[in-house]
Amino acid sequence: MVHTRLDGELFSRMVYLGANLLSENVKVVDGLNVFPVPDGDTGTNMNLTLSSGVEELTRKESPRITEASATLAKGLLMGARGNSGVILSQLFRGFSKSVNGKDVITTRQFADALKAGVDSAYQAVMKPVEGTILTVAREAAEMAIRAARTSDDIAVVMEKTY
Amino acid sequence: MTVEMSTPLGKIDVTEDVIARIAGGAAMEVFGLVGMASRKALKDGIAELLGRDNLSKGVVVHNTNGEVVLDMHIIVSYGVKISEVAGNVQRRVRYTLEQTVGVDVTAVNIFVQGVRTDIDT
Repeated sequence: MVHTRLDGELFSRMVYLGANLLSENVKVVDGLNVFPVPDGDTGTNMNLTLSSGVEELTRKESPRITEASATLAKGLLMGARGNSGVILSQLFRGFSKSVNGKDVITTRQFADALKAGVDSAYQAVMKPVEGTILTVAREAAEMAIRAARTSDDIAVVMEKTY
Repeated sequence: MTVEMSTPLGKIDVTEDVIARIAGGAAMEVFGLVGMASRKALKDGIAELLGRDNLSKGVVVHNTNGEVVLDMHIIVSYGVKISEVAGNVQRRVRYTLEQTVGVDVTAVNIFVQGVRTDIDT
């Protein structure tokens, strides 16, 4: 099935699946933790943060992407844990701002929103440290923008972004 | 004033300014922190955004009988969980000082002196 549009419902489903995948891989992400303090809790922190976002999202489901993403952003902000959690919440805050007022978005708008999330995240730090989730998010967003030029299928873009 | 450490080979003295600079540099890498508020600006009541050359600005080192306590005056970005950012700064600063200088910090006190909104930039 080809998805060329993203609404709140599909967005929520993507988030739920992503959150599940993360919670299955908490230990792996924990092992990646070197910054700001190598105490091996990144996976745990991100999982807690994302769970808080998901919880908020299940409480206030919306078919509109503007509402769904704003709800997720709020849940992430409130539940942010650790450096990566704060970054994650900021990425989605930027994403949500970018799709503000829209019911559904196109694949290209989706890529732009990813980029907006990254931009907003980079603005919230004085001295960005490369090699963190920030770098990953930036390169993923750049890839998404490139992929969105050649395909209007969200799944294809996500595949390339990943 | 300096922070003293004794080793079998001799004494190591680290000035408070060095501690302040390292703490400031470490704090700036923490996500959500967008600036330091200088003490002078504190007196003036205006928090000004400082550049990277002023690493030690906004950091006050208290050293009493080998107990090191830091006061850090920070400016955070709007839309982040401030309590978490403050906690991250504390963890990062304590860790960096322990690793690079070998100083055990008793406390890192965070003063959130300002919040920068998107409109300001």
